[in-house]
Amino acid sequence: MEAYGFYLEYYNKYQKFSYRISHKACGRSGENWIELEGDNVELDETGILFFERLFASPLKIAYVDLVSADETKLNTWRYRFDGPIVLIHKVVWRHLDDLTTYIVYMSDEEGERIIHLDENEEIKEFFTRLGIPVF
Amino acid sequence: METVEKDVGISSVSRYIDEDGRVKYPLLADNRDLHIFELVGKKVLEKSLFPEKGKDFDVKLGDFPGVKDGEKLIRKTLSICPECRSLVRAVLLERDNKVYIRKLCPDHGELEEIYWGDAEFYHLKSKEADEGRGIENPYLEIKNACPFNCGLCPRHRSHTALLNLAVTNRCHLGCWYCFFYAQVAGYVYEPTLEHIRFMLEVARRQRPIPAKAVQITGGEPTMREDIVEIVKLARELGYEHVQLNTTGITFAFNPKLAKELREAGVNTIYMSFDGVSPITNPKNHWEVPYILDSLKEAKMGVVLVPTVIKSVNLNEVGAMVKFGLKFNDVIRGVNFQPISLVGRVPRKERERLRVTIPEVIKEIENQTEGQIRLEDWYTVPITIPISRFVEAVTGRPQFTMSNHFACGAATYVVQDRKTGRITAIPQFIDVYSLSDYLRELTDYIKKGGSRRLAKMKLLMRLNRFVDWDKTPEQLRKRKRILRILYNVFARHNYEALGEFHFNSLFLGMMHFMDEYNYDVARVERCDIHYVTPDGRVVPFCTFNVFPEIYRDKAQKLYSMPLNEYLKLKGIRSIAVERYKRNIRKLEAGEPYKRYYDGFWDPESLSYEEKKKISMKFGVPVIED
Repeated sequence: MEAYGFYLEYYNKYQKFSYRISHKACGRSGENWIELEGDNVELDETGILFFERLFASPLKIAYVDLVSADETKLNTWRYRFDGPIVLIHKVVWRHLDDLTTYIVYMSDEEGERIIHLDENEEIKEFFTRLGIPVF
Repeated sequence: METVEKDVGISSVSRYIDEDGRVKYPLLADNRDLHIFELVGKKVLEKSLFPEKGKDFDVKLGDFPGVKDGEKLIRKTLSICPECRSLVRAVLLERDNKVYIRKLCPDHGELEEIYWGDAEFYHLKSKEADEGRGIENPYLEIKNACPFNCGLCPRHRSHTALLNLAVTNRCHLGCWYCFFYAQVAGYVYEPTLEHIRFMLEVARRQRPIPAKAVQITGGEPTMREDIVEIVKLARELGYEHVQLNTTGITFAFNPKLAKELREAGVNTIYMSFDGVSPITNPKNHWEVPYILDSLKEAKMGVVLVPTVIKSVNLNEVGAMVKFGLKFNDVIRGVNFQPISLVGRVPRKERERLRVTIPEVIKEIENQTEGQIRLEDWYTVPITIPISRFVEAVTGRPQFTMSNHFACGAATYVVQDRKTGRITAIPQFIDVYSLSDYLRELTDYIKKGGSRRLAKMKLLMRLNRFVDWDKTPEQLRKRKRILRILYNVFARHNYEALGEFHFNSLFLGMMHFMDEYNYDVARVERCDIHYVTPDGRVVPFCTFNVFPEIYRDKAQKLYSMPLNEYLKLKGIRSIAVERYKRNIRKLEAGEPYKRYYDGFWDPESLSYEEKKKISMKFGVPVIED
């Protein structure tokens, strides 16, 4: 199982907003979730598609926007793990009083899914249920 | 994209598809269940229509091309290699006050093409760039790189502002450059009325803004005997604006059809018109006067649509504008389309033919004695602040035209009835200041301000954005322009826009891309879409630049072989449906002299020369 995590600083000059994305990757080993270490890689085609599947809908960003933006910093991490994996991306929007949302990618026995959560009880419950420390 | 859930057995769908994945269209054509069209569409998409990497396309993201001495990088982007049609990296750069796109294919090297013919104007217009919201319920998930994942997918930034619905690939002309025409393609694509209902409904499902405007196109849509029913269907399904893209020739001989279409709900005819002379417009030069008379009789407006080619008709763009102004009682606009090149075209030939938006605008300025200036043109996203303001006032999402700023430009012109002077509306309305004020009012409402007060502030301030000394007489009277503007901004309804159009001539530019100047950043913002027979909605510049993946591939699966069509119709050849032109008769008619007086002297070419022009173009000539 392969998944990608991203650190991104992005500025949209047309509507003058920016956000910062950081992430945490966890894999399930037995009953517990452990934080995974990944490899810092160049963004390849697989990574591009993974990025867009995560972020195109909620953040209205595609690969061509990263390519054309003047003020973008992107770091890509690839994770390989045999077993259920969860990648939690934290998005901090700068122009809306630091509104934070979470985009969660999960792959387990139920298949793959992408969930959007707000910074409120929802995300706390999610992390608690999984046994993952909030970040 | 949500669908109507219904329990339909697999066998119900499978019986409509043969072993090769081709749709058994005569069988499907009898179907009245819209859900079956949907399921069949999904099945063929899964089986054969969804682009497959390695087979239909490739991604070759090597290095970005370099920028040389004397050049300035504008931005990086993604493009297409014209040789292998793979996705490659590209840059937009500036050199000698022109903007170029340069792409680098790891296998085929570098290629450069002009992108915008005036860099200073490009930078000025880039300030008008803005973003749309896309759609909340995309049709497809992301599986392939853009543009091989249409449509629409979650990447897309614009809802459908204009839906193109191809209702046939039959045509009564045989233009030499057309590959789409049934006789050349070898099959007839002509969806049934129920199938059309499905395709129209698909675009109406978009959220938050269902598609509201549809352009019925072809081939030649008036070839269909049920074209009036198709228009009625579009209206029944909630489309507020229906336009017909046509050569117009049918109306020259069947004015009754123009009236029927108007009554059925066609708002505007979009008609090919490549110039005022038969040399520049061999397609329908002789018929245009009769077409315009029929449309006027039917109270139907027409927008003339010239394809502009540098070496062919760039010298007539001014004449086309003046023609539009002279007959503004029926001509609502002229929408110029700088040429898009199809197939392999060597560089020298491209340079001979290619023209871009700023170059056409500058020629219009030259040919109208400076009355319609470069700075009078604005790009499409300049309208976004209006949509946002109306959204703030009404509390409801609004129709928004959010395509890329480099795709098109427009202005409105008015000819003073007394002096004959042409004035572009931006010469007496301060567009940028008005746009900024609308943004200010929108922010005010979003921060909790009163909507009613915002509308009142607009009403009170509108006057300040108008230079009354420069306003033409017909719009100055009783401050008519203020009332029109207020209705457009505060009510934003179709009727208000209609009044605006009736008092001016719309001038537009829309430059559809080809594989040489392709910019993925533009296609992701495209708001002019086609609906495919399997139920996808695909941007114009993907549908037509990759016909082997989208347009032709989908339509062929839903088509009838040509020989089957001929058998069904009891005709020996599709050539019997071809239009044949009687040049002498058309030139002898009063409308011909009336419309072309001052624009074209028919004595300047001999009859034999005119006959040769028509036949070379692909329209046979008959004589009494």
